Amino acid sequence: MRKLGSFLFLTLIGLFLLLTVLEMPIMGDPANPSNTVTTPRYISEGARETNCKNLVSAIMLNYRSYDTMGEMVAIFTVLAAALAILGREKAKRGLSPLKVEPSPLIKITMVIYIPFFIVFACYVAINGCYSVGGGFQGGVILASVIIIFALIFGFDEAVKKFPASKRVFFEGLAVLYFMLLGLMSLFVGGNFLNLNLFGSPVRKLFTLGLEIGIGLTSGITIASLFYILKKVERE
Amino acid sequence: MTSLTVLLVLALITLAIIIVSSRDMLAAVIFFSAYGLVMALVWQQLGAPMLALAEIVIESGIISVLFVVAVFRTSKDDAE
Amino acid sequence: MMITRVFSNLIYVASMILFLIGFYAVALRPNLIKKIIGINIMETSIFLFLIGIGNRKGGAAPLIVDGVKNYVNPLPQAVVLMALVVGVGTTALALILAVKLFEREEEEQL
Repeated sequence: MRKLGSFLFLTLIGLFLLLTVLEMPIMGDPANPSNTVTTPRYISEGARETNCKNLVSAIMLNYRSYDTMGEMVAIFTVLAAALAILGREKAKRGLSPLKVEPSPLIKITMVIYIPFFIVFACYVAINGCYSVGGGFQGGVILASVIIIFALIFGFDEAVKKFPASKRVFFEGLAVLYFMLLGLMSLFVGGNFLNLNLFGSPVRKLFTLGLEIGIGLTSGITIASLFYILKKVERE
Repeated sequence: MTSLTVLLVLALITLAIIIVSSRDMLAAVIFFSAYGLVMALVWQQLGAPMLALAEIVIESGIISVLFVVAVFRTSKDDAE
Repeated sequence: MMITRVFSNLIYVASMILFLIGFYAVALRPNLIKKIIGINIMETSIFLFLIGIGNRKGGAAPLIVDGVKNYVNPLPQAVVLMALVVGVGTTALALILAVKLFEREEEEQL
């Protein structure tokens, strides 16, 4: 009975959603409100104002950098909550879920590949303003490299190679950098996080620093979350 | 709206139904990984390659690994 | 007329269907991991909806190239990119809570 009731409720919600969606303007029409209000300005002026050809990075790092800072704070809060619930991993007690030793073929292949993965991550993060990519994408590729390493060489080895004492610096890096940059623009005489006050070369440097900082922080934080989840408490 | 997009969207809905109705938790997680991949292809068709790159790495890479670890840790029959 | 509307707004309709499937998993499936997968499906469906709103017919990806005038809207994409990374964090936190809950239950059974 309860199942039937919730199913009916679900159908009702679906009907409303579909009716609403069918009332919306046709997708991809250039006359849509979403394409006429602020977007022309972003597209015509964005690249010149921010020196960023990739408009997504331009919006994220310049026009809406305050939102990005809030997001880094959110990631930081997630990590703090996870640490409060389960705590840091310990190197010795962890058991790998892999019951069998991976073959030497996989190990040697990964040893050859991992430097290329890291170079790709750096390329994606540093060229965020000029090509498809950005700090986040580079960061998550870095995190996936760490996770692959932990899956193939075992959890203990990954903890030994990349211990918590090395990671803890990067986990708060982007928040700190954002705050410092905001305070700096306050001292120069503008609003919080107004990068327009600095000259073009300095600004380019700051934007590059933001990309790298965001990438490192999000990547290392995600890797830390994986470590915390993987930590085995039961012996 | 090309026909490729229509096909991908249909595949997306099918995969979502398979994920939700599957009894085996590990199979659901693997299908979820495939779902993320197809979703990234749809986004690439809609003109968002930056998001597609992030989606492939996050959804079908990292989140799937996290789910697999969680499934292993919460499965009752811990064959040891 | 309705049928042509469904076809031209196919992305919106598909995202709503995906949202409902995710909602079904969250509401009616007993397994916690299944519920978290449902949350993820709802999340990606909303991202699909936002990207569909930002789409523009024949538009290129928002990467400025000389001579191209028609770009898709970059603003929803920036918002979605932020939400993606926060989504990883919330998913990991939910999984950690589920694992903790499972261990607590197991301790009580012993």
